[in-house]
Order: sequence, then structure tokens, then C-alpha cells
Amino acid sequence: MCPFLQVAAFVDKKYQILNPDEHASYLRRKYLNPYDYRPEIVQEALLQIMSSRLCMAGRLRAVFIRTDEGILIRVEPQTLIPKTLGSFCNMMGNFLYSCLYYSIIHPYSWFLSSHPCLSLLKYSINFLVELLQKFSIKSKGGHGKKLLRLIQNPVTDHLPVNSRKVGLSFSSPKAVQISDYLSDANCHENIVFVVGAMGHGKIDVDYIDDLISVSGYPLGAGTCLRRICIALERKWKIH
Amino acid sequence: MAKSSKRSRSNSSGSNMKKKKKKSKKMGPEGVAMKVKAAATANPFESIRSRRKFEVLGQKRKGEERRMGLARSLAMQKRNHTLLKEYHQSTKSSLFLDRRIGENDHALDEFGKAILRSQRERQLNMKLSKKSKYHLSDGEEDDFEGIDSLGRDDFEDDVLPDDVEAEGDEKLDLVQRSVQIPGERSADDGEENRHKSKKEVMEEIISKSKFYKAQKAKEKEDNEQLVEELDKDFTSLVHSEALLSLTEPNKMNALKALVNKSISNEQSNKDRMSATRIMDNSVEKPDEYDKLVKQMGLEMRARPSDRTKTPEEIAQEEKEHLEQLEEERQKRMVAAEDSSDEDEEDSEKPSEQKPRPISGDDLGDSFSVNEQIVAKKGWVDEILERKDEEDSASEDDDDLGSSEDADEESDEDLEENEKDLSLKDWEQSDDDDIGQDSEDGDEDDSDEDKETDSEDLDGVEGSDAAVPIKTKKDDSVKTVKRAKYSSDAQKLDVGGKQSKDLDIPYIIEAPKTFEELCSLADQYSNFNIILIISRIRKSNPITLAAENRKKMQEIVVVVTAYRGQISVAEVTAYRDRFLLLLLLPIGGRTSVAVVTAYRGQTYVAVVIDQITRAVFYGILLQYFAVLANRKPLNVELLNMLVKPLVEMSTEIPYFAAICARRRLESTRKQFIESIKKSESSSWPSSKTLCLLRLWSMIFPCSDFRHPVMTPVILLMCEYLMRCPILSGRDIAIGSFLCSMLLTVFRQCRKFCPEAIVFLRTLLLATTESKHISDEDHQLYHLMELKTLKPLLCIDDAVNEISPLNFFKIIDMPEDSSFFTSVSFRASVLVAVIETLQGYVNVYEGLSSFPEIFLPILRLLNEIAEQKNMPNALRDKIKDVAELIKLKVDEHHILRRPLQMRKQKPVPIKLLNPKFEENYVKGRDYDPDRERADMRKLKKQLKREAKGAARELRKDNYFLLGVKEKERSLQEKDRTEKYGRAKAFLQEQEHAFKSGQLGKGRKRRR
Repeated sequence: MCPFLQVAAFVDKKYQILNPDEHASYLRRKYLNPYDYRPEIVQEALLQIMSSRLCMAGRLRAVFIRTDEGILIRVEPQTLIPKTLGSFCNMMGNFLYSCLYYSIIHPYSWFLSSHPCLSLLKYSINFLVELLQKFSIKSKGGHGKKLLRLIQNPVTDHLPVNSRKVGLSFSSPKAVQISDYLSDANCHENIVFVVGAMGHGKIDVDYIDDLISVSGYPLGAGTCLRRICIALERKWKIH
Repeated sequence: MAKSSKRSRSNSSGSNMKKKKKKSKKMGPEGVAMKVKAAATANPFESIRSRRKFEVLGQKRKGEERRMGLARSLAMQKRNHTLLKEYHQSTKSSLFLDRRIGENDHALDEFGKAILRSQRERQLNMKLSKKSKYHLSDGEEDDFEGIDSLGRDDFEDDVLPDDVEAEGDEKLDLVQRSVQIPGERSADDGEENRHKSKKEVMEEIISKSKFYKAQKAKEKEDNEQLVEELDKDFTSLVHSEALLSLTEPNKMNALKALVNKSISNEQSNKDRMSATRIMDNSVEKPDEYDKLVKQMGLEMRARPSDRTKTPEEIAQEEKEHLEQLEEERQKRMVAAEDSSDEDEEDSEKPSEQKPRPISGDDLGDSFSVNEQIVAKKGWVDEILERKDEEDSASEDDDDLGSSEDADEESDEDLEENEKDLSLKDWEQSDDDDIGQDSEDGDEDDSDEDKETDSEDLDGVEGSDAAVPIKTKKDDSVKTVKRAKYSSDAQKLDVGGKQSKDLDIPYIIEAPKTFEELCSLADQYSNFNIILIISRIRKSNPITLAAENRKKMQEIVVVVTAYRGQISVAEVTAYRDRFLLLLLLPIGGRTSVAVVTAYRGQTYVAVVIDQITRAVFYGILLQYFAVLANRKPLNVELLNMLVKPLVEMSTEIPYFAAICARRRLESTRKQFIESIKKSESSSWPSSKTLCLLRLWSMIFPCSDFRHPVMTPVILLMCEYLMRCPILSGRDIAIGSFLCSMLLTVFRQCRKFCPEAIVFLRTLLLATTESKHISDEDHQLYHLMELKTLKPLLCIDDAVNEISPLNFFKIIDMPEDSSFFTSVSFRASVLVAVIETLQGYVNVYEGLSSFPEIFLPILRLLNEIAEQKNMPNALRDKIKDVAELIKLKVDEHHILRRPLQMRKQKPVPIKLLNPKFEENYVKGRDYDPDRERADMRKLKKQLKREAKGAARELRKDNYFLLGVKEKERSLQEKDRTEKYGRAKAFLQEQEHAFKSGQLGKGRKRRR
């Protein structure tokens, strides 16, 4: 799991998600490092997850995002993430939170049980700005289903009961092939991956059962997630 | 008096207050409030603030954090001031109101109050004194106002002249200064002592008016200067080139005259100007210049550009032009003895004008054309002179002279064509080209020099030379024919009657019968026939509006039979509107007469025109057919006829379609008849073939269903299917049909099994082995009477493969030895292979392509293996075979095996999040304004209601507290009193019991 920094701030009389391109001088004025605020990592990660076959097949339960400040956002799997960083950033513009970011993928059996499914989050920056003021984002159209919402800490309250929490870190001594690792995993367990979505640093949470490294290289969050998704698709034969 | 009374009252009320305050001090609540106030600064609860939900960088929000403790104590204080007082008052029947000035204002100290009071007193005094009748004002206030307004006035006036001053010249400056000085002074005065006498005011007014007058004079001067300048400019403009090009010559003269006059008058004018300026201005005579300008304006308006001409108009113009030419020709014919020079010149003009395209935008006034003619003349003259010399020199050798003459002319024509982008038909110019370097051989000595029009004639001669097909024999045949027909229909009545020198009239009545056309056409060469046809078309333009055309065509169709051969049409009522009696020409003697019983004459011309058009089309088509049937074929003429036919068909499409259908019907009837009699070959004749080709060129082939093309295609397919292949000729015709079908299907990509099967049959005929497999049988159940002989089997070595000339083949008799020759077979095979390739390319998109072409591929491979096959042919066959193989492979790759019906995985439904671009908390983003407003109001209402309830609740709580305090105080008092009384009683009893009544008690106390 990786916290990613994503900061909302009140700049130019608007709430904006901070990003190093636009607000570098602002952040420096406040004695902050602009490169700690990276909304695009979150966007890419979300796009990778939401456009995967895994998600389309309905095997994704939910995505949780936690900011540095401890704000916890739950993203439903039905959410269409805004495609451009521009609109994403417009929305995100106002955040000053770094988030911890989880994706929860539940095994087949569990998915079959008629558990109320969490919908995927769709995401854009405006979105987050609005989210932080309204605490939830609904879907367009008459459904009014909440796609993104702020939830209460700690995240462990929201994770399924018999779940295996796997953290990803480049610095972990346990290097595995992700597909092998998954095929060994107990298929009656839910799997929760915790991936860091920040520019620097490592995830620092106490609830993970296992900390693994999936590559010899320091991969980005989006790449990691894609690898995980592909491995799971293979495992569950989603084509 | 009043003051003293007031004071006394205030004193009394003050004492009252004190009493009351004292009283209230005793009371509990007041004491409590005091305590709160005293503790307010130190109350630690007041420093408690509300917590913010999110810490946002850079956020400064006012409303976000509140000091709740402070708010609470403030509310308490407020209640003490309001609610508590009311509560205390509620039991009282009378109310004390303190109306002393400044008494309610806690911020004022005693001194401030005193000042307020004294002020008020003074004001009252003032009011009273103003009201008094005899009060004499010192006028202070009035004076202030007056001076103010005056001063402002002066100031503004000063500013205005300043602005003007900046622009003006020195003269004006002087005037102004003289005007201004008194004003300024007066203004200064005004400022100084703010008084002005009437005299001063008057002075000011006078100086102002003077100033304005001076200004007016200045303006006038300026204007005059400007006019002079303009005059100068205008004269220079008139002399310049620019205007010259824009105006007409006579206008220019007028302009120049005007200018000259003005120049000569300039000096005197200038002198006069100053003297009679006033006169000039007051009495404005209509200026010459003005008149001119008005004229020019009118002129421009009166000449709008010509609108774009409609095709009908253009046709009409062409017709008129031809008429004019004809007239001239007739004149020349009568006066044939005139000098040739004149004639030449006469003919020159039309030739010059004729090819000139008349564009819709042409205004007809451009000079360039005329200049060109002038320039041209010299050259032409030269040639003419030369020709004259030659004429005289080669008097004996007429032929040569005339031909050279013609050549020269054609040369010239060509050049003109290039220069003027002539309208002449391309055929004509082509022929000119040919005629240029060819000598006409077959024109005989009856050529006369006097006969002019050589520019048109030369083409004839040239084309004759260029088309060797037209032989002397042809000519002789034609002369015989021509002898049969009376040539009275044409107005051509040349001096040299049956002579070969052919003079084509410019105006040609559209022939009413086929014979007429034949008689008209037969005496001419191919090219001239085309010329005649184009002239006929031009001299009979369609004058109808486009929407009427179809209707007219229908009428024509109703009345005339196709080919225009009906002699007398019956009286026909058509759509209740027309009653036509149509007399069509009988043997060329009668012209068309139409009587309409309805609406009189107007329709007559129209109908005649249409009818002649349609009739002419029918005749032309028939002529085409007859030509195609003739042996030997005049291919050149046929080709040339196609163009006018196609063009005319687009003009009268409806009639053209009817003609085509009728012909098709009869052709099919003939075909069925002939196929019943099995002994004769039932393959189509050259006429039918030519017509089929013509129609496939005229009508769109790619339509899904077309009234003409569909039956045409069906007929062709039927030929291919039902006619037995008996000889090499049949094979040639069949492969020709196949290639025709290919051209048709290339556009629409419809599948035509007949052509494919026929080609396959031909290929099969190439092979020696006569094995017909099962699938072949399957194929042939469609084909009737296919007797397969190895007609195309190449059993000998072939030297060379020459392309087939289809028309030649069709002319040959059926049992000609050529059909059995090896070279013929090879050529046919080449043709077949090429057609097949075309089909392969056309049908590559069909999904059944492999099934269609695989058997053919097998056959091709087999043929390619034959030992006598020439190499070129073998290569070709291999190419096609490879092509087929390639395409087949492509199709096979694309084919997917059958699958059980598989359900596609259904992805979860994705939802778009709803968010705003610039979200502001609290704003309603509902697009329905009304609903949003309503919701806002409701929210407000609810909030207010809640707030009110909360306030009431707090008030009650507060009152409850007050009451409680009162009660507890009372209780305390009572218990105290009770205790005291009880203690007293106890003491008494004690004393009573102890016997120390009075004494001891007193002492003790």
C-alpha cells in the first residue's frame, strides 16, 4: 500500500488539487516540496484498474484511497475515471491530502455471494474537490448512486473479513513472481493489495499481512496495478 | 421656564430610576447578570472555538470557526437587556419611558449629553424665530447659493474655448483672447468677491456672442479652403489615368470640359470669391459638377450586369446565330459571282464569331476581342492573297487548289481554336487536325472554288481522307440511295446538284422521318453527318422549362410511336388538358401540325418543338441501328453518333427510355422466335450488340433497378445462357457479351453467374479431355443446349497472338476458315482470360468467391499445362490463376469455423460521475432554476423556523432560570423570616418559662 500525496489547497479563490506543474511556486512559498503532490499518479492508477478486464468482469470490489492526512475515499468499480489529467486536475486542484490507496479484489466465490457490490469509482479532479466538500459524488442520471464517498477511518473496518492484505514495495526483501504468488494464494480468501501512489517513500501501515516486491525495478503505481490485474485475470481466466 | 420644568422632570425621573435600580439590585437576576459581566473577560469557556473539518492549505474562511462560549454569553447578555426587562415590566400597569436626550446612549458621558441638549435647544429657537413674521434675514444663505452657481458657470465657459484654441490658428487666437479677457476678469472678480452687477453680466453675454461670431467666421473660411483643395484634387484626378479607365469616353469629355472651365475660371473665381462669397453661399446655383455626379450615379444604376443565361437561352442564341449564318450563306449563294475576296471576308466574320464561347458573365462590351480581330486581319489577308495567287496559278488544278485552300483555312481554324477556346466540337477540331496534313483523294473535279464555306468543308474533306473505310464504293452506293430520296426536305439546293461538293446548310429542319434523315445523311461523309446532327440539334433547341419537359415527353410518347414513323396520330385526350391532333410527316412531305383544343395556340409551338426533338431522337436511334446492321460496318460513324445520342438522351430521358424499352421488347421477341428455330444461330446481331452497348453507356448501370438497364442486363444474360455455342463466331460474340457485362457489373458489383459460367464453358472447350465432373453437371443444368466441342483447343503451335477486331469478326460469314484457325483461338483465349481477370477483380469482395472461382482455377492450371500453349498466353493464364489463388486464400483466412453460440461476457455497467467544473459549496447546481429557487426558499424557511424555535426555547429556558432564581430567593427569605419568628417565639417561651420576662432579653440584645 502506498500513500500518495495529493493535496488540495485554496489557490486563487478556488479549491484546487495541487500539482507540481501549476502550483510549484505556490508550494515553494509555503515551504513544501512540489514533487510530493502528484495527482497524476492516482489518476493513472485508477485508470489502470478501472479499464482492466478484471474490473469489467465485476471482480473488483472497491478501491480505497487514503490521503496523507488520513482522509479515506472509497471508489466504486462502476466509476468512469475522467480521462484527461486536465479535468482530473481541475477537480483535484484543491487537495492537500496524500492518500493511501488500496485496491480490493475479491475472489470468485465471494463475488458470487450476493453481497452488495461496491461500485467502482470514476474519478476526476473536479471530482475530488467537490468530493471533499460534499463527501460524496453521485453518478449522472437518475440512479444517484454514490460512486465516490468519504468514509471513516480506519480502512480495516471496510475491508472484507477473511482477506489477505498484501503490500507492495520495491524495498521488500520478499521478491516474487506475481502470477506464482497469486496462484499459490488461497482462493477462498479475499485479496487486498496496498500500493503506494506517491512519488517517493514507501507505504507505512501496520495491517498488512505480507509485503512483497514484484519486480527488480522500482515500478510506478500504474504499472504495478496493471501487472496485478493481468495476473488475476490469468488466474481467473477472464479474457 | 421650559428648561427648568424639564430639569425638574428629569430630576424626578432620575430619582425614580435610582430607586428602581436599587430595587433591582436587590433582586437576584440582576445580580447574576452583573456577575456574568464582570467575569466575561476571564471566562475560559468563551475562548473555546469550533473545530474545522479539514485543514486546507491557504484557506481563510471567516464563518468556519466560531467561539461558541462567547456567543453564548453574548446571547445571555442580550436577554438580560431585553427579555428580562420585559419580564419585569409584565406585572406593571404603567410604564416609565425615559425620553431625555442622550439618556439611552450609553456611550455618551455627561458633557456630551449636555452638548446635545444645548444644540437641540438652539435648533428649536431657530425654528421659532424663522416663523416670526418680522424677522429680517441677513441673506447669508441666499448669497452663498448665487455666487456658487455663477462661479461654476464662468469656469465651464473658460474651459471650452481652451479646447478650441488648441486647434485654431493665430487669428482666432487673437479674437479669442480679446473675447476672453473680460470673461476671465469677471470670473476672477466673481471668485474674489462673489458679487456681480447687472452690467457685468451683460458685458459677459456680449463678449460671448462676439466670440461665437468670430468662431463662425473661422469655420466658414476653413470650409472654403477645403473646397478649393477638393477642386484641385478633382482636376488632377480627371487628368490621371485611373478615371479614364473607369468612365466612358463621352463622360470623359464632359468632365474635361468642366475641369478646363474651372481651371480657366479659377483665377477669377478666387478673386471673386472673397467678394461674392456671401452671394455664392446664399444663392446656390446647380453646379455643373453636381449635375455630372448625379448623371454618373444614375448611369451606374441603370446598367446591371447580365444574369447568367440558362441552357435554354444559350441554345436559343446558338440557334439564332446559325440562322444568321444561313442567311448569309444563302445570300452568298445567290450572289456567287462576287469577288471571292469579299466572300472570304464575309465568311471570315462568322468563323471568327462562331467559335467564341459566350460566357454568362460576358457583358458584351469588352474591347479585347475586337482588337484581336483587327490584329488577326493582317495575317488572314496575307493568306487570302496568297490563296488568290494560287487560285490563279492553278486554275486547272482545281482539286489541289481547293484542298490547299482548305488546309490553310483549317490551319487558321486551329489557331483560332487555341486562342479563343472555341466552342467547336472536339470532333471537328480533331478532323481539322487530320485534314491539315492529308490530301483528299476522293473529291473529284466538280469542286468549285466559288463555293466558300471552306472552313466547314475542309473538315469534311479531311475526315474523308482520314477514314479509309469510306471508299469509293460507299460513295457510289450512297449516290444511288440518295437518288431515291427526294432531298426537298433540306433547304440545301446547291447549284451543283448531285455534285460532291457538299454545302451544309446552317439551319436544318429536324427530319421527320427516317428516310429524310437518310437522305440528308447519306450524301455526306462521317464527319459531316455529325456536323449536321449537331446543327439540327442547335437549330431545334428545347425551349421548355425543365418541369414541363417530362410532361411534354409523355405527350409525345402517347402520340407518337417510337422511331417517329407513325404517320397520323389520332386525336388523343391526355390528362384532360390536351387534345392533340398530330399529323406526323408522311414521306417527308407533311410537316408537323398540332392542334390543341385546349388553351389555344400557346402550346402548339411548344409541343411541336418537343415532338420534333423526340422524333428526331427516335430517327437518330434508328439510323444508328440501321448503320450497325449494315455490312460492312461503318465503325467510325457509329462511334461518332454515340456522342449526340448520349447527349440527347440526357435532354429527353423519358422518351429515350421508352424508345430503349420498345426496342428491347422487340429484340427479345425476335430472340425467342429464333431460338425456337434451332437451325439458325440465335446469337445477337451486330445491331443488337451495338444498341446494347449504347444503352449501357447512356443509362446508369449501377442502379439497383432501372427501367432500361435491368432488362438490358437480363437480355444479355439470357443470350449467354440459352444460345448454343456452335462455331467460333458464337464464341467471339459470347465473349464480347461477357466483357460488356463486365463493364456493366464493374460499377454495381452484382454477381452475374451467366457470364462466369460462360467463361468457364469456354475454358472447358479449350481442354482436350472431355471429362465433365459432377459439379460441372451441376453447373450445366442451368445452361440449355451446351454442346461442348473442343472448339478452342489449341492443337498447333501459334506464331503470334493478335488482338481481335470484333467488328471485323462479326462481319465475317459464319463458316469462315478464320474461326477454325489457331491464331483465332489463341486470341479468343486471351480475351477470355482478360475478361476473367476483370471478373475476378470485380467479385473479390463476395464471400462466396472461393466457391465461384476455384473450379475455374483448376481449369486454368490444366490449360496452362498444355504443350502447344504459346508462352505469352501461358504467362497470362498463370497470372490470373495466381490472382485467383491469392484471393481465395485471403477469403479462406477470413473464414471462421462455426462455433457454438457463445455468450459474450457482459461488462459491468459503468457510470459517469456527476460533478461541476468549479464547485462552490452551498450553490444549487440544479439546471431547473425554479426548482432550485423553491428549494432554496424552503431551506431558508426551515432554517428560520428552526432558529425561531431555538430562540424561543432558549428564552423560555432563560425565563425559567430567572423565575427559579426569584423563587429560591423568596424561599430563602421566607425561611429566614420563619426562622427569625420561630427563634423569637422560642426565646419568648424560654423567657416565659424561665421567668425573666423582658429584662434579660433586652439586655442580651
